[in-house]
Amino acid sequence: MLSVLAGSADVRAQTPDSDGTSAGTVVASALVGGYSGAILGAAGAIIPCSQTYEGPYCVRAGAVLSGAVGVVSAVLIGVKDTEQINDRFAGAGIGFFAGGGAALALSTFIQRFEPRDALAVGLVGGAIGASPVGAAIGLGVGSAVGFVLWRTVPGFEMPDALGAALAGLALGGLTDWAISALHAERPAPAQVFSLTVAVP
Amino acid sequence: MNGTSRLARARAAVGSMIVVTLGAVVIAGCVPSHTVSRSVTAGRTCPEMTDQRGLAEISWYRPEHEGDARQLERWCLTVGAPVFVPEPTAGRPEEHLPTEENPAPLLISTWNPNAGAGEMLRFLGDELGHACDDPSTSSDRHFVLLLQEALRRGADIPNPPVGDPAIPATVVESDRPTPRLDVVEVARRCGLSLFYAAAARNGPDVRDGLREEKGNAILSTLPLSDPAVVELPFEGARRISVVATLTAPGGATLRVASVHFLSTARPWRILTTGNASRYREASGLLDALRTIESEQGEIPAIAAGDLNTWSQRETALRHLRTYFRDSPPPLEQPTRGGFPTDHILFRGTGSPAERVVTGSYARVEGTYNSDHHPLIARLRLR
Repeated sequence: MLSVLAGSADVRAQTPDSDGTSAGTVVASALVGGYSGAILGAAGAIIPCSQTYEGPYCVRAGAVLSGAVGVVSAVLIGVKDTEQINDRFAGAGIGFFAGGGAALALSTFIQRFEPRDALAVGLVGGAIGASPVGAAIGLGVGSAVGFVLWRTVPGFEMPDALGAALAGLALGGLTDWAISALHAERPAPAQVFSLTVAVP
Repeated sequence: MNGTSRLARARAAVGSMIVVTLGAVVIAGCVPSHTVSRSVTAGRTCPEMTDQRGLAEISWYRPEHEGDARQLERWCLTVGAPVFVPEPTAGRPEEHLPTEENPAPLLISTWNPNAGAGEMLRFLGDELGHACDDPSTSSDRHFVLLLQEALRRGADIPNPPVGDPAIPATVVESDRPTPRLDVVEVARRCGLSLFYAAAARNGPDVRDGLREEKGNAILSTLPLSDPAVVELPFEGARRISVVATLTAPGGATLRVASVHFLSTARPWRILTTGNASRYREASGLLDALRTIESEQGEIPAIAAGDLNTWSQRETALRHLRTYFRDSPPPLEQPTRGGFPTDHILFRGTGSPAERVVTGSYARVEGTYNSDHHPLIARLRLR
């Protein structure tokens, strides 16, 4: 999946139309936003949904909704600020290799850990890497809230606290996408200085 | 901006959204079939039951999904045959036996003794009133004990190639003051009926000249019949349930199932199924139990065991409780670490006479050297 994303990463190489945005840019933006949103949504929904009757179907709904938020946000960003989309592609790549690499390094200590398990961790790492600031803030807030509720509210169990942390991560990442979409602007045109060199 | 490029961008956005949505559907919540039936999927050779082994009467229920069948076959080849001892040999004073007119509650207990770690004989004596080495001091109360990760040792356990990935690591046991006993030895010494089937090997090593495996077992002071093994959908390790029918002296019958679910799914499985491993195992178990009920008739049923649930609200448990509709309320105390992993569930046939005695469902405070607390309840049958 990431190779597909990486292949589309240099969105400025696409043929631009009159306002500098190509269909290729839109597709690339939608892919990175959708990928990040869907994975974050699935990760955030897993523990809360695992405590409902619907279980995996609830997780699927969370992934689809979050993926849609990611697509819309990323397209809104991409049509105005291709540079930011490129940065998010780069972040996804770094996150993928950091997550997958760490998982591979730890795999020798875990029974029956297969390469595709490292791929799964890499995919989550990539989704976080595409919106790292929001995801980190969300994880911090979610962890703190989850811990306090776990220690103070009867019936709020330790898995719920973990679920709050993961939900915070997902909401933070998605909020990062949405806020960036609302504030996306075209970068100011580069200043061009004419320089004349006189050769005597 | 011209109209054509705007249209192209809109099409690209919609197309991308469809691709991403489909991808998300595949990524999360794509749960493979859980159907479990008596039909044998192509490629299965194990277990091969023959009359010579005296095990032809055991019914097997297996997942139909091809991927499950492939993995379960590999794991099944590494373990020995089930053990079925239908009649208990330990007597009970007849005057205290429950009758139809005066039914005494049946003790139900479930425990994961953590392979050879749990002190089975001490547990039987202290909690179930069954003194194996001095039957004269035993209580007159009948019981059924449902075990998971029960240890069996033997030279007849297959010797697969070194490094076989279908052999999990040896269970880490804490030191114990008394000898490690396998479940067949416990049944023999205590005069109990037994139905045992292995789920997996207990590591690749030979210990004291014997290979080891671990599985589910039913031990009882009552006779057992209709033995069945349910292989659960494969979710990273082979898990099974053993099912049998108990017959009380007054003629009342009870179907019992000893259940063990996966503890932690692997990351790929969590991401691609939306963490549905235990839900899928529970669905497979319910498929099998419904089939058994349709084949053998509706009688009261107990399912108990180490479900490895993190929460009392977990999806797998919710689904089981819809079938086991007469289950006692969940316990608030954890049974392993901080988690409510173990449960006793009950399904009556609609008669108010069949019920778990109010207030009898409880956690046993001692762990008897295991990493799990046992659970105990009293069940009244017609």
